[in-house]
Amino acid sequence: MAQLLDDDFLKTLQRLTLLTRGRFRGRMSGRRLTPRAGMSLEFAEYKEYHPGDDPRYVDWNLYGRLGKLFIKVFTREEDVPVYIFLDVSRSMEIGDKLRAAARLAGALAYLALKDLNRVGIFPFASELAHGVPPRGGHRQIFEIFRFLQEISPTGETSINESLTRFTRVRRESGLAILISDMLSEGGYEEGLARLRYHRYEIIVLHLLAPEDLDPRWGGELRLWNVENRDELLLHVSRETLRSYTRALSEYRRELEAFCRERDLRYFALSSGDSLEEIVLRTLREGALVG
Amino acid sequence: MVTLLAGGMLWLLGLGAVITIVYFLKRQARRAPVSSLMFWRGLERQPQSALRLRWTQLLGLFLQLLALGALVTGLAQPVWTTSAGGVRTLALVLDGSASMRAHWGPEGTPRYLRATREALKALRSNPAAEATLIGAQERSSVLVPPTHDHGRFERALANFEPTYQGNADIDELVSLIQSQFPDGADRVIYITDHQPSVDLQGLGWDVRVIGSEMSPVNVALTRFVVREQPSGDGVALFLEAWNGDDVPREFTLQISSDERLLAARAVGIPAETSVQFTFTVSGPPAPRYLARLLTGEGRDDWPEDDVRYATLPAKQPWRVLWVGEGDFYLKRFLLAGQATLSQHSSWDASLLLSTVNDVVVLTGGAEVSEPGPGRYLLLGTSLRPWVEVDGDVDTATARVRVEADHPLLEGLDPADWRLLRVPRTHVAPQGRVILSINGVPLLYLYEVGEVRLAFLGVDLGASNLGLSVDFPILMHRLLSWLSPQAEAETVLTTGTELPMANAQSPVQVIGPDGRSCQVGSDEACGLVDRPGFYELVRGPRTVRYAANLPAEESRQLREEADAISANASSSATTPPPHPQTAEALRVARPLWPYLVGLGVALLAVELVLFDRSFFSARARPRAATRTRGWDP
Repeated sequence: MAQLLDDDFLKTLQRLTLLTRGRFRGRMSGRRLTPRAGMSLEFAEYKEYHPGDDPRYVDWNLYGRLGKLFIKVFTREEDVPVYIFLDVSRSMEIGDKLRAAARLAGALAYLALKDLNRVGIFPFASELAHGVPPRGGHRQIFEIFRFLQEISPTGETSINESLTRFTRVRRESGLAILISDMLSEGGYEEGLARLRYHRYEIIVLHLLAPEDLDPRWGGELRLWNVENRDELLLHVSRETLRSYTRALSEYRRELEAFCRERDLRYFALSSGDSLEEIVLRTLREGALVG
Repeated sequence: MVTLLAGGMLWLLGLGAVITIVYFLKRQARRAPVSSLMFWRGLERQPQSALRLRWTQLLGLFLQLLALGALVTGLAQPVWTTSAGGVRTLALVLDGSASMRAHWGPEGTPRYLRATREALKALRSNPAAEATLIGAQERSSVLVPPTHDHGRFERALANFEPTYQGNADIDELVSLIQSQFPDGADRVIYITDHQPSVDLQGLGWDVRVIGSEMSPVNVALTRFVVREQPSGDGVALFLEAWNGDDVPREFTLQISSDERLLAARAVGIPAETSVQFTFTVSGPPAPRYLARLLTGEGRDDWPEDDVRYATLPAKQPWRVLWVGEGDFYLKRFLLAGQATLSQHSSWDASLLLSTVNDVVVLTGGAEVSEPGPGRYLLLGTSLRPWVEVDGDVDTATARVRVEADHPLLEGLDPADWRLLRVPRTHVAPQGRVILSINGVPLLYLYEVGEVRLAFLGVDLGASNLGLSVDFPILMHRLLSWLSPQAEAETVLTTGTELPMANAQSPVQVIGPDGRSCQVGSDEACGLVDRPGFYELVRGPRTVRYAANLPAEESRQLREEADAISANASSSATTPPPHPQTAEALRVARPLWPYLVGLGVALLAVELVLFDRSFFSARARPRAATRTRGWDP
């Protein structure tokens, strides 16, 4: 794989930030406010003193007026764990979706790492594969880029199984970004529901290829599923193509409705569009990048 | 019969096998990788639609093969050769002489219209012919040069109108056809109203005689001449009328001059006979005379030949070759309009050859050697061996004596002539001395063989003769005896030219319809193209001409009737074909444009009906694949 992201685009990304809706507890200081009281200079609130609290933060002036012990609570900026789930099933090689997905993952990882967050890449197909564990720091971006450049398609898509597996091994909630064509015979609902249950903020980047969206072939065809080698003999006429498009659109509507109902953020993307267009227009308009 | 000009192209029909193979390969389902079969399942066709699909595909294959067949056959350039197209080159010769104007009665169809219909029929039976149209009359002409544009040919036929000229010269027609088709015409069709005198069928020509039925009245004036009376009082009119009918006819013959009726007489003409009539009209001559045969309105088949025109002939001036000293009196007389002079001071035998003259005038000082044949007027000078002069004789008191009575002296009185001296003259005995004085010949005439001379032994400077009234009379008579004054014929036939030779000054021609034209201008001028009076104006001088139809045109009206009946039997047999005709009858028509057009049309139908992806791929905008755009 050639260089994942060019320098000009990386400079553009320098000016952007990955926007999240929720607050997550981090481990290290970062640039995002957390629900925990912190050590920053910004005052948050007063809190009644309980044994065990640090007596250095007792507000003695208030004790003089009220006769009760209160301590000052300051805001705390912590990092956010960002988990990027990358579909590497064989279907992602249709229309070069995998490369587009890898570049998109790289761009998002760069944005997250730039803001001192921890980022991990979790490739999945029929099951969750070994990727890049979440870490912060500048070195991590090189690690991630190297991994994304060497990635190759394999196996069938199984979103439910992969995400369920993830929730079992990872307990720390964070931002979960799912980049996939979502063409999983087993569905996606359970996997996404489990992530949500574990309080992950979920972003679904539904990436399809122009070949998926608007197939141009016709006549006598043996349709061949690249994931499981299944075949289907079909005479593809204009009417057939229309029916296919209708079915695909219906599927996408259902997925979008599923996400909307569960407060998941959904983006429909095409690998035919440039990365710049996806990041700087689509994701920006959807307030994922700002 | 269909022949292929590029038969090698038929190998391309092998592409049909390629198309068939491609078709069956296409029927073998292609493998198309897809991300998922989720949305494709359930879209399989029903068995009924599958059968219909098969038939539709077979129809598509059939159309493709048909289109290929049409295109390849078109590339092989098939040509349809047919034998129904007539000849390759056709010369249509249409009689344009005056008699083609004749018709049967007032409502009858003129012959030339029948002729043009016949020509049109002949043209249309030879649709592929390169055809030429030739008008056959005294001055035959090419009306339409060889062309494949039959529309132009038909327009020329529609505008065709006969001339007033006489019959065509067959040799001239042959030359005209030869000039249009140097390799010879495959067929020559001559459409005329009379049987040609030459055997044209022997030349391979197809002669078609067009005529009307026998006309009710077929008479004509065939000759009309006017001459001055010898007495000088009035004119004599000579007429010839012809009756072409087989019964005797009676008509009224009218002669008029400029709307003034001069004479009218009932005349009877026996059947198929010409009769001559003479009229005398006293008084001064009129400039124009018109004779008309009154046959009754519309009865004659060709009324135009019942009228003839005449004028008095014009006298030509003498052309005089003058050699020697000038003589005042004689020269003044000649220049007064009686003669044109060509003057030379000395004699040269070549003068007779290099000049055109009627009379040679020799005066004193002219030494003539080797005189050739000719007409000589000697004014007191020698011309050996017939006349020799040596010295003078004093005759102051002598009287002129008439030696012989001669018309030259009629009305003259030589006794009144006073002559101071005359030359001493010796004359050849073969001549005749008319006048003498003191035994010396004064007027001597000699005429042997081609030599005619008159000797006048008078020194006009030493006599009163030059001043007397006898002098111009005597001189005119002497010149008339030597060379009778030529009379220019002023009765012409249509189709000829007005005599305008040696015109040195501008000449204006005024035609019968009153229109005038200048000779030398762009418009045709000088040709007698219709009957009537013509005036030739050259300076102060006007010469009138009368133009009449050729008499033989009138006579053909009768001859034609016999010829038609003879031709009716002969026309049943088709003239022998020209040697080239058998080959020329075949006409080739290219078929390839139709086949190529059919092939392209079939391909278009196949493309529209069956190759739907061709259109569907273009029907969808590219933007449909954009991220938010692939919304249903």
